[in-house]
Amino acid sequence: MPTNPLAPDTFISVSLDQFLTLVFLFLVLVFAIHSAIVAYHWLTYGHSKSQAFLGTMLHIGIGVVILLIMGSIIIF
Amino acid sequence: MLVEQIKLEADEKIIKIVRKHWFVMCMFIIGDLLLTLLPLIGYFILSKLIAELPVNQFVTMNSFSEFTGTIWFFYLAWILLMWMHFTNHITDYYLDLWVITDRRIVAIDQRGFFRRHLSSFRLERLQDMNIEISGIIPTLLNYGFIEAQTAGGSNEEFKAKNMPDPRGLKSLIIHQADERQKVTQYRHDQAGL
Repeated sequence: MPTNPLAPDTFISVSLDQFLTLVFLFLVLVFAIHSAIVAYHWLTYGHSKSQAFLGTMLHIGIGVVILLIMGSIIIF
Repeated sequence: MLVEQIKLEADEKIIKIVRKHWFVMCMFIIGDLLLTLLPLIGYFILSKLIAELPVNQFVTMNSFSEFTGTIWFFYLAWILLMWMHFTNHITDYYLDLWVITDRRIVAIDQRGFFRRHLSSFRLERLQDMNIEISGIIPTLLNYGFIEAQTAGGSNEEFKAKNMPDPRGLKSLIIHQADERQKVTQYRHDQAGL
């Protein structure tokens, strides 16, 4: 068992910006997977192609707008 | 699309596609909207409380304003998660339906993304239909529970809650079943001759 205290450089330090970027990238990944699943279900099992397409585009569009605002918060 | 999924027979016509009542969707929308606004309401309540605390010389509104960007970032993340949650509800609503054709009823039950139950019964097998409208809102908006009982089979798959106009739906299905019986009987008689 080591008895010496841990040296400060053994801790992983993450700045707030880095943390926000990690959260952002995680959400982009989750949203991309979710959108792919939603689009597959709507376009495969929906009864109207135009409705399914419009719904998928709306879902992706609003999600992308939210992600863009989040990204701009990190950048600026 | 749906029609390819349920594989309609030759000359089979779709009479009606029925989804759950719109009020069910409205309840989801209101619930998700309240959940979306919840952190915002909490933030304003917290800001007011901190402003009124005697220690506000230490924890001032400046403490909040330093992190405004971060707070908005996490609030937007929450909105995104709620948007995905709302889409899940829409998917359930959009894909959960009864397809009434002139020969059978196809009941599609979408439970989440990865559980889809599709069952059908021929209208000749229909024995009885039960409906139940219980509660003030269902009575006013005319939606309720509908169940089809079939000959010799389990009717577990043919129950649906929150269906719009159950009486109309029942009479439509019974009418189609009667028509189907007539056609079947006619063919049977022709074959006997």
